Amino acid sequence: MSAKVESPDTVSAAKARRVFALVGNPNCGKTTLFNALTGLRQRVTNYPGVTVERKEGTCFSQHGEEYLIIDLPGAYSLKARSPDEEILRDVILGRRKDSPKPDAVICVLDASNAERNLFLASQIIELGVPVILALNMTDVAEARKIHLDPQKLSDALGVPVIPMQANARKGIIELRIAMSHPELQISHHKVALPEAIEKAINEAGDKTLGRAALYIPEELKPHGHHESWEDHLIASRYETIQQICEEVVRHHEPDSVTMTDRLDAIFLHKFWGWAAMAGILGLLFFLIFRFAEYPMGWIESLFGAASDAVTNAMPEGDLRDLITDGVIAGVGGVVIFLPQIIILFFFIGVMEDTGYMSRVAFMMDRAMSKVGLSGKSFIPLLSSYACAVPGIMGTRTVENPKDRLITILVAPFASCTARVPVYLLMIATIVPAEKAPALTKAGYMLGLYLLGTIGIFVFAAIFNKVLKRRAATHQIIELPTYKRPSMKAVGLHLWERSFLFVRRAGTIILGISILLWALETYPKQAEGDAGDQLAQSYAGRMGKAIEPVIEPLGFDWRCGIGLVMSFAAREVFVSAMSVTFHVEDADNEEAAMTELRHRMKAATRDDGTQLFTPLVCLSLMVFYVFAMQCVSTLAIVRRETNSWRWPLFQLGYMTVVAYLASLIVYQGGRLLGFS
Amino acid sequence: MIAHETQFQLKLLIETGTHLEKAIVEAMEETLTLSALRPGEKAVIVRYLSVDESLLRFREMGLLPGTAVKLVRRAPLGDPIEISVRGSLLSVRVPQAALIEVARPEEA
Repeated sequence: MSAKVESPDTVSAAKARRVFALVGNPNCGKTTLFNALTGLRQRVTNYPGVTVERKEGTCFSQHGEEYLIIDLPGAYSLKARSPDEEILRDVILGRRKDSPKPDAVICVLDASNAERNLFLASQIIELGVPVILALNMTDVAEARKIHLDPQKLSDALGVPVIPMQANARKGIIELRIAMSHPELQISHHKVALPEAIEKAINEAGDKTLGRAALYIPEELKPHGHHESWEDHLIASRYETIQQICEEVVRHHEPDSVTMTDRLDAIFLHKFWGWAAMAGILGLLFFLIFRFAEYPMGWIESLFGAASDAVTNAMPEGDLRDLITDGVIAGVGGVVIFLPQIIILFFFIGVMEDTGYMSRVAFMMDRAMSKVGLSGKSFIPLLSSYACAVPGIMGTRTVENPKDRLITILVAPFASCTARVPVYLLMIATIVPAEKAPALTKAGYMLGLYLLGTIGIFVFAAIFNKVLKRRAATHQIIELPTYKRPSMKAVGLHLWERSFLFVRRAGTIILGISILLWALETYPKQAEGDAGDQLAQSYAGRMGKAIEPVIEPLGFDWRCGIGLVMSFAAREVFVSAMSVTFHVEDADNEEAAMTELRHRMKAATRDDGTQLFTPLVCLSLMVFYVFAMQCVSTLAIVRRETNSWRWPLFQLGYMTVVAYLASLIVYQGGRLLGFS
Repeated sequence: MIAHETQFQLKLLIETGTHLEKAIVEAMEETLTLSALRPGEKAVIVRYLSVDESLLRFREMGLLPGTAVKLVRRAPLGDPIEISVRGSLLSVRVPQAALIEVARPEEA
């Protein structure tokens, strides 16, 4: 029954340690098992060329030997219809140069859902690699009165079967013992196939990738058949599995009402479902919008204090400015995102882990499908109204690669909190604070939010038409049984995301902050105040250089400086304007803002006409609704799409859209007689 | 029962030589599909009405001819639907569910 496997041939052959691939259906507890085996000894990278994340970790056998565990993406089949499944198949077969061929595959099964889970397991067994079955979630199965006989299953499939509860660390030792077995065995279990197919596969030799027939060469496909080969292969596999399950599984009360049924009766209810969702997402929004302000304020004062300390300790000069205005401000600009990221990922983690996330997707699917997306894009897009950075990081939950890309591309249209200071300044310039009823201001705000939202839907629809769809994988989504969230898993997830953000996106953000600091500092002016200095700096010159381009939008070079400076982050526009209009650093922020507003209102063009007319203010706001003025978002898109192609495309198309929208507002407004 | 009626309609319309297309559409409508089940109703999958490759995913997830399914509920907005198959709960969009012909147990 068994064949001996030769010593492992790892890529880095320095240490011949055993390599295990961890596979299973989504929601089978695979990640919990990975965490239980490896603890904090994990590393997350990307497979080159694709956006699939590669997770590796090390664990130790009962005898202290080190093993490498590769956690592969969850999948239902090896048929490779998504990048995830392609990676899964290629890693198991040892076809990827960047990944060692696994010595064995640990296949995780959800014991409460054995029939469907065995589909993938039996495909992997038929690939001819040694397999260990981890029969997980036995407690959930018992609660549903499903009894599975591990010994019978092991006999039927010819592989070791380890019953376990990964979340309670039950069965981990037994699994480690199985992993340390001196001879990992290959099973010769076979699915009974129709005779014609059996014959063709045998004749094709290696071309079909063995009995699993993952690849069927065109010439083998029979013509004129009503049902395709694939259909027969799938049906035969399920037939064999069903026969095994009849032997192995005893389901005592198939029709009993489960906890999941009871919870779904509330969470998917026509009224209570919406109420629960509004409550949960309302809390999330409150925490990201309001509560996050406190830790963000602390971080700001902490970096402010650090900056002051350096200012006091060092002699005046360029180096001091570089450290305070470039490095410290840059690092602060990275860390400032962490509170929102942590809050969002805590919520996403809990919602994913409990199974509620799929319910939100189920409820919202219809609305999102209008523009070709699925319900899974809802939470990332909603979060982007607080900040696009965590929102785009949240698109990891969108399995379909095309949907994920579209969601990333349109997310920055959501009016994030960084735009609010710009909106407030411009609205205040249009309508004087003293006279304007609060309602008018709220009306402007609402209009701007609405405009961004329209942008999201219109461009999602356009990208959905333009981009080619590979496979429609979101046609069928599993609604997993509700589970108690594992705080360890949520915590690890949080740590992983925050760490990746700081390391990958943070370095880019820091680099660009230092660059922008240099642009506004050099060349140095001998005299004049900060405003003159800025006007003469490279940034100021760039602002002037783009004047002819932005003139049709109603902007002059002073707006140009604001646009160039706020390329790092939109809210910088306000401070750039303060410097440009020589507003002195007042202790009272409110007084400084009032002063800035007055000076902006009084500002004139060369011909003596008013610069910031209501129409120009409107045009500027519309520009900020659509423009990608955010280095942090570009950095995170670079990180999430694994190339510069998409962030650069996004920067380009959003700038064009912003330009055209502003142009229409300004020129259209003038045609209609507004000023 | 439905099949006979449909066949009769079809024949009649073809014989009169008109509205063939309409008849086919009507015949399709007469077929009981997964999307047409009432919440809580159980049925058995008969066949797929399309040979679209993307439907292979449905088969891989265990929705095969002969498999028992139950429509658990419709989403509050009407689409998608939640079905129960082989012990798992799946969300399926109505246009795809409409491509799966089912039969109520007494008819199967």
